[in-house]
Parts: sequence; structure tokens; C-alpha cells
Amino acid sequence: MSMTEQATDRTVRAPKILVMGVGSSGARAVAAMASLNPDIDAVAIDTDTKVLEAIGIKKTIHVGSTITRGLSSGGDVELGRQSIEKDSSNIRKQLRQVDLLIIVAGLGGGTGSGAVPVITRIAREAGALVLTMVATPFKFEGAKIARVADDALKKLRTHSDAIIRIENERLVDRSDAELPVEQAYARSHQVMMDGIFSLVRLLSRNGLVGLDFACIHTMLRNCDGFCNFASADGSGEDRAKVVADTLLTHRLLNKGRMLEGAAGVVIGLTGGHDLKLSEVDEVMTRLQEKLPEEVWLNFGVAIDSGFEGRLSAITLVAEQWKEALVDNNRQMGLSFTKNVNPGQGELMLETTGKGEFSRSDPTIHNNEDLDVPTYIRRDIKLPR
Amino acid sequence: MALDATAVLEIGSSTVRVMVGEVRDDHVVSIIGIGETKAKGIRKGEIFNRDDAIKCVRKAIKSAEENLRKNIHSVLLVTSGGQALAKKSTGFHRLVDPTDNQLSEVDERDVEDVIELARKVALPENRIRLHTLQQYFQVDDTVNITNPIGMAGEELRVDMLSIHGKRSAVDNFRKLVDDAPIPCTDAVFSGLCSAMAVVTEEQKKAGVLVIDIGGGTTDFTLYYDGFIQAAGSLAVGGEHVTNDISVGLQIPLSQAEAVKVKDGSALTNLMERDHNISIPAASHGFSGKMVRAVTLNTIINARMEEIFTLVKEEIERQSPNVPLSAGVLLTGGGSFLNGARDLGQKVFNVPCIHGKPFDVHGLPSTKDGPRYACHVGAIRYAASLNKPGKKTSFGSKLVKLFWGNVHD
Repeated sequence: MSMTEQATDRTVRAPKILVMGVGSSGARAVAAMASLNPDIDAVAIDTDTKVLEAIGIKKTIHVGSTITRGLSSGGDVELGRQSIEKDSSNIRKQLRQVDLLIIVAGLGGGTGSGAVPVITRIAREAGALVLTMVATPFKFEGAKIARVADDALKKLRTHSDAIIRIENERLVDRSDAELPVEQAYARSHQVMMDGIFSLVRLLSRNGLVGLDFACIHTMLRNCDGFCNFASADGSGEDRAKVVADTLLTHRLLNKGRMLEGAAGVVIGLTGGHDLKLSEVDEVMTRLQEKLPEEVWLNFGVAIDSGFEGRLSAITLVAEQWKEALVDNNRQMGLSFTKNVNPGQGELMLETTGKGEFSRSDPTIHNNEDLDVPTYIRRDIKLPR
Repeated sequence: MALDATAVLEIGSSTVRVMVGEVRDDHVVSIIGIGETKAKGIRKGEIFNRDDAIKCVRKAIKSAEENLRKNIHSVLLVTSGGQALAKKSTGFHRLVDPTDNQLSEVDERDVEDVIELARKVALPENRIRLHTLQQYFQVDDTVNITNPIGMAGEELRVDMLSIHGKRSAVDNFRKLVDDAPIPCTDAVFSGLCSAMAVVTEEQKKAGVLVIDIGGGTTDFTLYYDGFIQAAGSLAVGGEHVTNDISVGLQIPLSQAEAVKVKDGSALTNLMERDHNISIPAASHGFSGKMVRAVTLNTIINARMEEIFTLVKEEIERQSPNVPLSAGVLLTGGGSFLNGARDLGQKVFNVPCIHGKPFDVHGLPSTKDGPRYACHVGAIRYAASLNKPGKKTSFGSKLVKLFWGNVHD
């Protein structure tokens, strides 16, 4: 079957979504999620057999048996990468016929940081859209782990269609001094779970007001950034107020401050059949008071009979990306000797971008050298 | 056969092509021989490696001769003239002696005089005149006269349009052909030739833009009211698209060209977001790659839209507010790019279709017609010059082509 035929096929049948937990943290989150909602197609991947046994999920893939011999990658990113490369055929098999792959991982460890970039690449080659949901480490985990996570994030950019970043550090604050460590991590998992549930709900396209992956993807393409994610739940009479309040002061949104500088926002509401227009109006109006005027806003409403008397909201907030996805050529020309971001190997450009025309006379028209690719001169960002 | 066969040679940036044909009595162009070879040594419509270029020309001529089974004695050079441009000029001629208080009748000598005057448009030293095309006459206050002979008035004016190119580019091509060695009878502007092959008189009246997207250059000719209103050539073309792809996707030029032809589209389609294109490995150390259709098409779209926009700006500058009632016609190899016509439609906001040569026999295939438009047009052009007994009817709807100082 050719690629085009596949593409047209996809618009007809319901998209197949696969959730993949990578690394011990990701595997645990996915396992917890699968136990709550067995309908979601989930698979856990890790190098550590102990973890895979402990979490009790049906589908697991053990990778790197020849590399780590069933132990964890011990924080070594290179081991994580090698493990997954060795067993890539296994992963490929899983990805057959998958339309949207949601990868869940905690960054900073060996398997998560090393394997996820490889998986995204494999998934891209297999033709799946890739949404990566990653948790970045707590501050107390140290600078080294933070750096590992940062590098992994950059690598992810090349092949992920969307990255949702959950900053663990934001999950705790001073008032949480008494919080047990276990619960701090559990909270991170909880957030991931909430996110995936809401996303799967939204993406399965049973909404009144449509909101699908295309919306999120459009937002990311235009805003060119990471997504931050927050969800809120409310029930009873004043559920709309509760949901709006929660979102506006949500920790993951930096206590709502992130909304003020947002470049794009996706809001998905899920409620029961008793959901009133005034309630949707209240949530939306209160959020929009905080949002900048020129924000790219997209919202959807889904009705789910399991949500009688409840209202659940998910927001994805994209902030502006500071560095362009495709480096500006003129800047590149000046800073070529400097350390060039290795994570962007695929889209990196030559010094001038003129390619075969670099040795001929420039074609100057209105002070522009027409030999330089148009997308560079116009700063058009190439879609990932 | 009324006329001798004409051989035309086009030295493009991607293909060197020789076409031999003749115009029959019923005005149908009959193609009797074609020879072509991949161009080397030419970039952006100018020579950068003379030896390679001469070899290509020889090869193309040889293959045309084999195809024709006859020798080619001379060729007509089709050139985009190194960023050609059109310039309008006007000639005045007083018909009456001021002392004589009587209107005078326009005769043929007056017409020749006024055309001669209008032709003497000053060009910079580095430009060379390729064509001078006559437009309208004006007798006193009566404008838009196509044939003034026999009319009476005090003053005769004529508008002319000169198409001029870069002297060094045109001269070098002529020298290259002379050194091939084959006598070069003349050089003609390819944009004009393309238009002559694909535009009908109806379309010329209604307003039509012909864009010839070649490898290294894009030539355009705008007709309205039966005459050329604007013409020119830009040093951007299909090879720029290829180069952009090569740079943007980091793949070799040959793979970039292949993927452009096979999978590329000038339109970006959101539905193809999840469509990946596999670029096969090459023998010379390229190990293959997977790219997204949307990335590829964003690159192509940016370049093609710019090419069309540049053409649009240029015709607006030369001749503002000309309606394109008959749409835009695309010719040349670049017009075969997927989505090029749709994009043209988007940019110019008028129907945009392939310009196919009409009244022609012997083309390899009708589908490939736009590729051969400028050669067919050049044959027709040559025939219009060689017409036995210079036709003096200025009312003729054919564009009158007068010699520029190409021979100087």
C-alpha cells in the first residue's frame, strides 16, 4: 500500500492511538493508567525487568536484554539508547497501523532520556504522529540530571509532532514541606494520567465542539513551542467556578501566570448531559480575561455520560519558543563556529544555504539574494 | 513546403535542446527533428564552464542531426537574455510643414520614419536590444490606431516596446554557438517565443500572461489588447527549487531533483502532515532518508510563490492594472511541478493552465507540449521574418517584429 492510500484511509477509519510508557517512570504512569482504564491501548517499555514485573500491565516490551542484562540503564543515556536500538524491530512491530503514538516518559534517567528520541524517530518512520508527554526532573535531583533531561528534550524536538512538558518542580511548592517523596512522584504520574485520559477523550472525536489532534498540532506548528498542560475537575453546583479557579491558579501553569504570556491555548471541556451553556461560558470567559488578546485559542466540548454532575477541563498552553526550529541562516553564517545545537542535526543548514549557487554571482533583486532559499529569507519555519 | 526548415537552439540551465521545424502554408508548424542533452556548464541562464557548454551544444546538435538525418547549417538562438526587461518608448513625427496650413496624409515613409525614431531608445552600455515590438500609432488625438496609412493629421506618434537583455550574456551565448562551430543567425527572447507558440489572438486581446519556468530562469510575457505590454526574465527557476530542497532537507542535489519531480508539490496540504517520503540511498555515499511531505512542500511552496510574486510585481511595475482575462499560461519544464498551476491561480487570482503549443505537428507528445513551447514559437518567429516580400500591412494582427541591433 502506498503512502497516499494510507493517508486517505486514515481519514475514514477511527485513528488508532497507542500509549507507550518508556523508562521506569513512564512505565509506572502507563500501568497506573491502564489499570484505571483498560480500554486504552497501552504498552510499557523498560530495560529493568523488575519494574516491568512489578507494575502488572499486560503488554510490556523488555529492551536491551543483551545490554543491561535485565537491569536498569543506571542513568546512562547511552545504554538506554543502545538498548532500544537493539530491540527496535520489536518497537516497529508495535507501531504497525498506529496513527497516534503518545509517549509517556520521565526525563533525566537513562532509559527515558536515551530511548525516547529513538522511539520518536522509529514512530515517525512508521508514519505515526508522535505526541510526547515528558516530565522534567525535580530541582533536587541535581544539575546533571537536569542537563540530561534538557538534552533529551532537544533531541525530541526533531521527531515529535508535539511535546507536552510537565515540570515536576512546579508540582511541589513550599506549602508541601510535609509531602512524602513517594507522593511527589505519584503526583507527577497522576498529572500524566489525567493528561492522557483527557487527550484520548478529546482525540476520540466524540465532542460537541470538535477538538482533535489537528488542533493541537496546528497550535504547536504556529506557536512553535512546548506545550504546558493543566487539568482541572469540578463537581456539583458551582463546578464551573471550581474548574476556572483551579486552572487560573494551577501549579503547572505557574499559578496561572503562564496564561498571561501564552501564544496559543487549547481548552477541552468534558461534562455530562447536564452541562449548561452558562457553565461553558463562565469557564471560557474567566480564562480569556487572563489570556492575551492575540492568543490563538481553540476550544472543544465533549459530552460523556460518565461525567454527569461533573466538569473536567484540560488546557494545553503553548509558550513562545525562544530558539527557532530552523536556525536563521544569517545567524548561522555568523555563528557557525559556535556550538551548534546537535539536537537539530536533521534540519541544520549549511553556512550560506546557497548550495550549488554559492560559487556563482548572487542574483540580487530588491536587496535580496534570490539564490538563498526563500524559506530562509522569509524565516519560514519548516514543519517538523 | 513554403519555407526552409529552421533549426532553433535553446541553451537552458538544465537542458540544451535543438529543434528543427518548418512552417507549412497552412501556418502549422511541423517539427522534423529534435535533439537534446542534459546541460552542463550553464547556471541561471549564464555560462560558467564554457568547455562543458560547448560540448553540450555539439551533442545536442549532433543528436538533432541524427534525428533529422540531415545536417544543420545554422541555428537560431533562443535565450532568456540574462534577465531581460522590456522598455516602452515613443516616436514623434510631424506630418506637416508648419508653414503649410493643411492636414497631411500619412504615407508609408512617415510610418517608417516614426518607427525608426521610436526604435532609437537609449539603453545602457551593458544591455543589448533583442526585439523592438511595435504597438499603437496615434494621429493627433486619435489613439490606438493599428494602421495609420491614409489617415490625415498633423502629428504621428508610435509606441514601441524594446526587449533588452544583458549584453555579456547574449554575446557569450552567440560566441559559444559560433565556436561550436555553427553559424548563429540571430538571438531571440525565449519568453516571446513561448508566448508566440501558445497564445491565440483572442487571448492576446483579452489579456494573458505567459510564464516560462525554466531551469535557471523564469521568462514572462504579458499581452493585452493584442500587444505585448510587459516582458522580462528573472534568474530564478526550477534549479533554485531543487537547491532549496537540497539545502533544507540536507540531501544531495540529484536526490532533491528526483524527489521534487516525484513527490514535490507547490502547494502545502495540511492533510499530508503524516505523509512521509522515503528518499532512497544513492551510490555516492548518501544513505537514504525519511522526510515529511509537508516539509518538502513548504520549501517548494515558498520558492514557487516567490517566483510568481516576483513576476506579478514586475508586470505591475511595467504595466499596471492590466486585466488577465485569459488567465495565466505556464510553459517550460518548471510548469510540470505538481501544484504549480494551482499556486499560480492563487497568486494571480485568475485561471492558470499549461500553455500548450497549437497548430503544431510532430511533437513527442501533447502532454509535453509546454516543454517545447519556446522552440515551436521560435520556429514560428523565424518564419514570420523570412516571409517572402515584407508584409507591410500594419493592420495585421501578427506582432510585427523588427530587428534590433543584435547584428551590430
